[in-house]
This record gives sequence, structure tokens and C-alpha cells, in this order.
Amino acid sequence: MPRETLLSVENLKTYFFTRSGIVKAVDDVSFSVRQGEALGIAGESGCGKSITCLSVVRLVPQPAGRIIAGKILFQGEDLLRKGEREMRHWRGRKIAMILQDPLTSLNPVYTIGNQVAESFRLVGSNTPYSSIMEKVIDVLRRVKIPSAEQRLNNYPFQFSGGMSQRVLAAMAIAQEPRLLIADEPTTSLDVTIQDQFLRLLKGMQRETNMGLILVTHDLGIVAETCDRVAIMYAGRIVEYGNVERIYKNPAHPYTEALMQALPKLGSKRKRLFQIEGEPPNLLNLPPGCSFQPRCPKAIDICQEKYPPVAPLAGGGHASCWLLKKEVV
Amino acid sequence: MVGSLIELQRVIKFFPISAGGLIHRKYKMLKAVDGVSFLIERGTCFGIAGESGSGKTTIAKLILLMESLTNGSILFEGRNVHHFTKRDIMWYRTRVQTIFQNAASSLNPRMRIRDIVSEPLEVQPERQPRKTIQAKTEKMISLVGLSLDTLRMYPHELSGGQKQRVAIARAIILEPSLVILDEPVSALDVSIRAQILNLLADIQEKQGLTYLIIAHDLAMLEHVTNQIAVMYLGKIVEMGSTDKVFGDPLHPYTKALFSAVPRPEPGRVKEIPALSGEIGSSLDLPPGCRFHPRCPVAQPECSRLELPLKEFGTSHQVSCYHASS
Repeated sequence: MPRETLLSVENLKTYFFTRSGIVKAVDDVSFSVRQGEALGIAGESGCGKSITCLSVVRLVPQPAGRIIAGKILFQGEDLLRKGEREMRHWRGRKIAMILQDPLTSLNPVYTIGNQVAESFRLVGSNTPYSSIMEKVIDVLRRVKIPSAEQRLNNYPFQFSGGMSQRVLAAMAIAQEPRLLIADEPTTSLDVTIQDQFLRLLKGMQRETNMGLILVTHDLGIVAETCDRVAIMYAGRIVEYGNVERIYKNPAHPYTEALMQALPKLGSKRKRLFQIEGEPPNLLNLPPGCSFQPRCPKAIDICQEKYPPVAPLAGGGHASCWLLKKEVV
Repeated sequence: MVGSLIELQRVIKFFPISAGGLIHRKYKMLKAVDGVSFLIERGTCFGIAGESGSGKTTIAKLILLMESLTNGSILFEGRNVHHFTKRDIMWYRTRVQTIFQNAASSLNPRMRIRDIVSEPLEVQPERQPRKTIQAKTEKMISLVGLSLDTLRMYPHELSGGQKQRVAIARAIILEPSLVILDEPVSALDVSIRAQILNLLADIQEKQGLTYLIIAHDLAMLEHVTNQIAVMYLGKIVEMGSTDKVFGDPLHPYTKALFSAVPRPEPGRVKEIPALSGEIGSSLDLPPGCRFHPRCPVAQPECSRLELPLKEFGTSHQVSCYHASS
């Protein structure tokens, strides 16, 4: 089966218009997700990874946030041209989302069964209760919740963090979406539970051949679950490409520094490489390249202009003047 | 001086949890820490690893005297903390300091950084002259890599990494001998983590501090600790020098934990399948070995007998029947 492009985001700009100025949360971001492919969006807090995802489903907090330019092509159709009514039809059915904190995403006063059933009722058909419940049990089994028939009548407080996250995964895949967006799905989980959940997510993806966008700050998770990765810094994608290539041979100084700053299992006790300074304030970005004040390799031109996108030999691209120079 | 700074001997902490009964209240015991013994040597860094609910934070609270012991004893510089007088406790609290997980919420938003950092000195019964306090505060703030301008500011003007630095300055201003760090970097961004970890290592060297680091991030623990204990449901399942435990993990739980940590190595094939099930409840412990319901190599005898820690070579202890290298 050819891997056709499922989602293609082109030059997306999502800005927030606040009293203290314009926050360019997502600035000129382009990426694509093919069917059956997992794309990781990695970056530090405030780099715009979550807002990129919210832009895709058109759920950017209003009225401060607005998508001011770009295209979001999903199966060839531009989502930015859709009305709210039409978007509601697409959300859940074609594009589903799993959020960070499972405990706040579930309603504490409804049973798990009821909440999962909601994803089936949304369709608006007159399916009888009993057959909806059958579907609910079926989908809960698919996310490997033990004794699903009994757990159906439990309330969220009776579920552990890992189990709640599975319930949310069940709600997300209920309508068999083509694209699943998971925003830091395992941040609140313990390592062994995180491992279980990521394996489950990967398994579901293989089974249904859906596209997956995984937002995380953990480069280890990206390496283990994704095919391609976009590294974001201060609202922009600084490097984009194959996971293997980026981890072995990072092109952008920021990516390189991140890889080195990571304590790795199996490496001996020694001083860590450290990136000086702090991520910039989006209200007050440095001139030129946003990473330039912290960059160990910065040259003069970095302070003047934001570097253009430079295509890389093994596919993918990075935005850095150093790469441009080599090409010239 | 080399030698033990603090020693925990069969420390037990149970929390009574109400289990119904209107007039005659019934209680169940939540066994948060159940017979933990370890020793931290001066100038070293001891790590405790474990998932949530394993009792690692309770141990920190017990050492800080924020909770009282149910049983067992804590020896600080050879003296039993339990027999301390009020005066001794005051002294003890200047010797043992802590840095909490979330620095942002542990700093008073209405105080300037200067007051936050100098407060531990101000509240001492024998107050030092103002000039000395001021000099010490300035020394501390530059030691943690902040500019003196920071002293005028309020916590909200600082970033997460800077707040963590302030918390460190405040903790070490009394020149304690033991600093307890509960998840010191888990709330920080990757690019800031390395800065803080390097800073902690520098300060340890300069001030000759002893650290007790509690964390779930194993890669970080391997980097900073000399000794490590892995906890599961209130018990230490494996303990030893960091090189031994990480180089040759023997307990099935330690092995599973190491395998579950995502690593930045694309294409890595995990040695072990995912651990099934979840960490049990400390209210309702399984009989025998606490890990046996999730253990991939459990045998029938595992559900009957609980094993104490057993020596495996020098400075490596494991509590498992089937520990094998």
C-alpha cells in the first residue's frame, strides 16, 4: 500500500494578540504526516508544539489566538476553509486527540462506559443502547483494559492514571480516525506504565494504519516511537527529518546541543554538556535566529536575519546559516 | 572526614487510614516505608529510584523530621535523631536542608529574592550581624550563577531554572552537611536540566556536601550518584554502588525499569517485554515478595516468602530468589 500524505501543514502561523504584544506561538511551520507514519514534535515548554497541534484541529484558544496564515491540508482538503460546523464533523471522526493529563480529561461524575459511549453517539445515528455498549466493550478491549465489562460501570476515580489514559485512547480511536494527535500522553505516567502505553499506541497505529503526531519533550520517546521528527524552538521548526538521521547526525546546533545535554543510561558519571542561557521569551525574541544568543557556533549573520530553510542530503531540512554557507 | 553521615536502620512508617466504623473507628495500615536500611557516606551522592507510590518521598520526609517514625531509627553523625532535644532539632535542621521538586511553589511570591535566600540565617537564635548576612547572601547568589541584580527581584520575575537556582542558594546558605533533593530537575526543560545538574555537582565539590537525590529519572541518577537504592512498594529491592547496579542489574524489577526507560537511540530493540500490571497499593500488599504479581520470573515460592536484601558481591545487595547476572 503506498503511503500517501494524510496531513500536510504549510507555512502555518498562529499568533496570539495580547495586551503586551503579539506572541508568535507558531511561526511559519510546515510538516507532513503520511498514512501509518508517526511524526514526533519535540521541543521545550513554550516552543509552540501544543499550539501547532491545536491549530490542526482548529481549537486555538479564542479570541487571543488566531491562525493568520498557512494551509492545513487533510486528505487534500484545506481545514482552514472549513466552517465550525464542518470542523465538528471532522474532529473525533477523522482527527482525534489525546491530551496530557488523563485525570482532568475525564468527567468525574459519569461512568467510564458512558463517556466512551459518547464518542459513538456523536455520530447522531439512532443506534440502540445495547449495541453501543457492545461497541464500547469492544473498544475498551482493544486498549487492553482488563475485564472491560465490569470496568464499564466504574467512575474515573476508580481508575489509575495509566488506565485512565487507556480510556482516553479508547475514546480517541472509537471512530477509527485517520490521524491521532497525542499531546504529551505519558508525562504524568510512571516509566513502566509509560512503556506499556507507548507500546499500545504503536500497536494500534500499526493495526489501523493511521497517522500519528506525538508531541513530547522527551527525545527518548521520540526515538522509540516515531519515524520522523520536527524539533521546534521558539515557535519554529529548526530541524525536520528522519529519526535515525537526526539522532546520529544532527544538523542544527540546537538539536546537536540537546542530544549532548541529555543524560544517557550507560554513560559514565561525567560533566554534562550544557546549553547556556534560557529559552527566549516569545514576546521579545532576539534579532535574527532565535537560538543565536545561546548557540555555541553563532556567526555574524545569525544576528541579522533568520536563516532560510536548507534541505539536507538524506531528506529533511534545517534552518541554520552554517548549513547555508556550506551549500554556497 | 570519611565515614557515615546518616544511617537509616530498619525504618518503618505506616499511615493509619480510616476504614469505616462510626463509633469505633477502624484503621488499615498504609505501609509507606517498610523496613528500609541504608547508610550515606560523607561527601557522596546517594540516589533513591522508584515509581510513584514506592515510598521514596516519605523517606525524605522522615529524615527531615516532617513525619515521625513508626519504628526503626535514624542516626545522624552517630546520634539517634529520635533522642534529640528541641535544641538538637534546631541544630539538626541547619545541618539537613532540602530542595523541593517544584521550586516555583516553594518560594514565597511576596518576598524578594534577597529575603528568601537570607531567611534561613535571619531565623537563627544567634543572629549574625546584618553585614555578614548580606555578604553571605551575595556570595550564595553568585555561587549558584545568578547576578546580584536578581536579589531585588520577586520570584515571578524569574524563569523556572532561575527559581531552582534560588532554591539551591537558600538551601546551602546555612552550609548544611546533607542536602535532600526530591526530583530536583523533573520540572525543568531539557536544556536547563544539564545546567542545574552541573551546578549541583560543582557546589557539592566546593562545599563538600552530601546529597540524597530522589528521582524517577534513571539516566539522571546514573549520572550524579555514587550509590543507589531501587524501591518498590516501601522496600528496597536492590541497592549498591551505581556502577554495579546500573552495570549489572540483578532484580527483575530493576531490569524491567531500566528496559522501560525510553532512550534516545532509534531502532533499539527492548530486551524485555513491557512489565504487565501496575504498582500495587501499599494498603493491600501482596503476600511474599511485593513484586511477584508483576514479576516475569515469579515462582510459587515468591508468593510465600519475603526475602531480605542479600549480598551479591561487594557493595551490591538484592532481595530476590532468582537474582542472577
